[in-house]
This record gives sequence, structure tokens and C-alpha cells, in this order.
Amino acid sequence: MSTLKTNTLTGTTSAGSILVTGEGGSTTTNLQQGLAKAWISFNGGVSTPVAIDSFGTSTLTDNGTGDYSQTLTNAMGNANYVHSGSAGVNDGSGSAISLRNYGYNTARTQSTTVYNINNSYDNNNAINSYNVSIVHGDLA
Amino acid sequence: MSTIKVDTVQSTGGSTVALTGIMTAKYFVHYVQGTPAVNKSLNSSSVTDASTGHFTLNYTSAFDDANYGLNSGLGQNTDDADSDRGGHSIGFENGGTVNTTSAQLNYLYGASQGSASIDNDTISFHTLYGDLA
Repeated sequence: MSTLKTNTLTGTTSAGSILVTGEGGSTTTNLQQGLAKAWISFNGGVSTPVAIDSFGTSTLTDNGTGDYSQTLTNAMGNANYVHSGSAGVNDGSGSAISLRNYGYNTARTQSTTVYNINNSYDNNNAINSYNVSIVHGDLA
Repeated sequence: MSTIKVDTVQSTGGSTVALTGIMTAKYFVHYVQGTPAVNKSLNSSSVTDASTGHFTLNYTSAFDDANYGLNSGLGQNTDDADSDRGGHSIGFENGGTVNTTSAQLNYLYGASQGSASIDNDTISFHTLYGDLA
């Protein structure tokens, strides 16, 4: 076994592109593209929602019930990046947990530095929730 | 500070290398189901629009088995007033095919017992984690 120790990895052909071999040894995947560019876990059920833990995020804005905007520390290359995640509420209601959803509110615009999260249940009920959100895509 | 410049990282035996503390996503897609269109992706060969609310993710590089993980986000593209933004759900289709090169998903909208498949104006994000072939 050999171990390479360094602080920075940079592509030679393209600085932002390094291929790594897949686990099965027959395919490759792009290291930079596969890395999460930001993530956050936050409790939206308190008067001023704050991150429980996070990476690559800055201001979390509470727009209203179940309606949040998250600012990224580093801008993405364009607004077509991916943010996926999950949401839940620990309100003791038990059976209602399956109705909690994670989505995004496009009444607000997703930009290279800000994306939006909605939490709701049933057909039309916004609700404050715990959220975990992960961002993938290309950095600027 | 040290910088290593390289195009491809492999183990000394030529296979995968351990990147301690790093688990990369092996697939992601920003998908507009109403068009349909793929706005951004990694390892996506296509997304097949099967029928209303039903679509299939197809991968360029295969996974080594079908036991990979899906993490999704979803929402309305337009018409997202407060009264019209609840009850969305998405995931692997119940009874659908999930294999090493593709997976069938279903987007539902509505209350839990009255959900209907939908595709108008819906944008969804899907990220997959697991081992590639």
C-alpha cells in the first residue's frame, strides 16, 4: 500500500477535472463533479432557524412558514445545480411524519448563490421542519 | 503547501483508490419533467419520459449492483403559490425496475390517499450514491 500526502489535488489537463476509477475497476467518475459543494442540517421550527451543522453555506433566511432561502459561500457556475434532501418534524404526531416533504419554491428564483426550500404536507399546508440539504453541480 | 497535479487517480494495482473521508455522488440530474429536459447532470445518458409522472433515469457508467441510494428534491416550476405547494412526493417507483444502468421513478402530487401522478411544470433533482462497476 502506498499513501500520497498533499494539501491540494489539481488536474493537469484541466485544473478542475480529475478522474477516479470506480469501485468495480471498469468505469471512471469525475472527482470534482461528484463532490458535494455544500450541505446543511437545520431546524426550521425555531424563531430564528440556524444551522445545526453545515459546509459551504452562509446566511439562512426564514421567509415564512416552511419557506427558507439558503445562501452559498462559493457561487455555482450557473443556476442549474442540484439540491436534494429530506425533511421531517418531531412534533409527536407520529402518523403525520410520512406527509412531510422536501421541495423548493420557484416562486423564488434559484441563483448561483441562493436556493430555496419549502416544507409542506397534505395539499396546501406549509410547515416548519428540520431539513438536510445537499448541493451538487459545478462551482464557478 | 503542496499541490499534486494529476488527471486520473488509481491505486497502485490500477483499481479504485481510497480517498479518505470522501464519498462522491456517482450520478445527479436537474430534470424538468414538463418539457422534458435535463438542465444539468453527471453520469446521465438520458432521462426517459415514460408517461405522466413516470420517468426513467439512465446512466452512462453502470453501478456494480442495484443497491444504490437515491436522494431527491422536488417542486413546482411555476404556479407555486402557498396553496399549491404541498403533497409532493417522489422516489423509486413501487414495483418499477431499478437495475445497474437505470431506475424508474414516480412523481406524485396530492394528499396521501389521493395522490396522482403529475408532470406539468415539475422540476426535480436526483442524486445517487453507491459503487460503480
